[in-house]
Amino acid sequence: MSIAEYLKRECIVVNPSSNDKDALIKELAERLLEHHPEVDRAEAMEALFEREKLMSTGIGEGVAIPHARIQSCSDVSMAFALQRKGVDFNALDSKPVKLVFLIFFPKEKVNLQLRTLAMVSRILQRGGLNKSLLKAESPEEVLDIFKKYEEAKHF
Amino acid sequence: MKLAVIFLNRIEVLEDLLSAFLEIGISGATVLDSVGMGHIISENIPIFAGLRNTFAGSSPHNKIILIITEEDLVEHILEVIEEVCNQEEDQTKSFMITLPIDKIFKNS
Repeated sequence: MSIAEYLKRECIVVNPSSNDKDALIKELAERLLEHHPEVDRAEAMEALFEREKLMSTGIGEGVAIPHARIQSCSDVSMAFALQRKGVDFNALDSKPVKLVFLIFFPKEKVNLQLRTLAMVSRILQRGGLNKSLLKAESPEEVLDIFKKYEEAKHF
Repeated sequence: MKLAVIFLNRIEVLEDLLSAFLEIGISGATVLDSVGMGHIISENIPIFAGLRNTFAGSSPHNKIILIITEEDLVEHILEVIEEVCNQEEDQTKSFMITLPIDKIFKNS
């Protein structure tokens, strides 16, 4: 399992227009939904914000992983945003969030959700990778950074 | 000799289970308090908080019972678990594994 396997270039947003948490989640979700028409929009949005109500997905060190389990989703779908300005995400360490991974999971595949969240949170909490990502200027560059990092097998 | 390891999710039947073991000739066992991984990650690691509902039906705490037994008692132990834990109705499904014992070292 790897990020590069699930993250497509079209679902990477560098410098999104949104400057607050809810708007950024919506913007990224819309981008993902554009490329996954099988996913029910209303269900996805509701599930994402319900999850945020439970506890912020801002896990610290400028990283957030909003996610939702969705009935109409058949496989893991990912979108990524690089917001250099930083967004208040009510993160656990109160630091502004600059790297956002938004993920849809199939409702019934709990193990897949566990594996994916563990992988993404582990990778994104590595300082070196985050520094490289923050310098990226394009979706292609972001994808290359993930690919190179994962090819080096940092685990 | 075998080591039977029972993962008991319905802790309310523990006493009934131990009594039933006595009846089939098991006179000693060690009972450990344990917590499932699902409960720990969903309660303690924030990114997995969304899974709390998934694990809501399961007991936060369970027991592990260790029994050193003669091999011919293993089937009886299994029958007792099936009966006392009422496995058909038990959504959490207690289960048992057995391991061979090579040697036992004991203080005399």
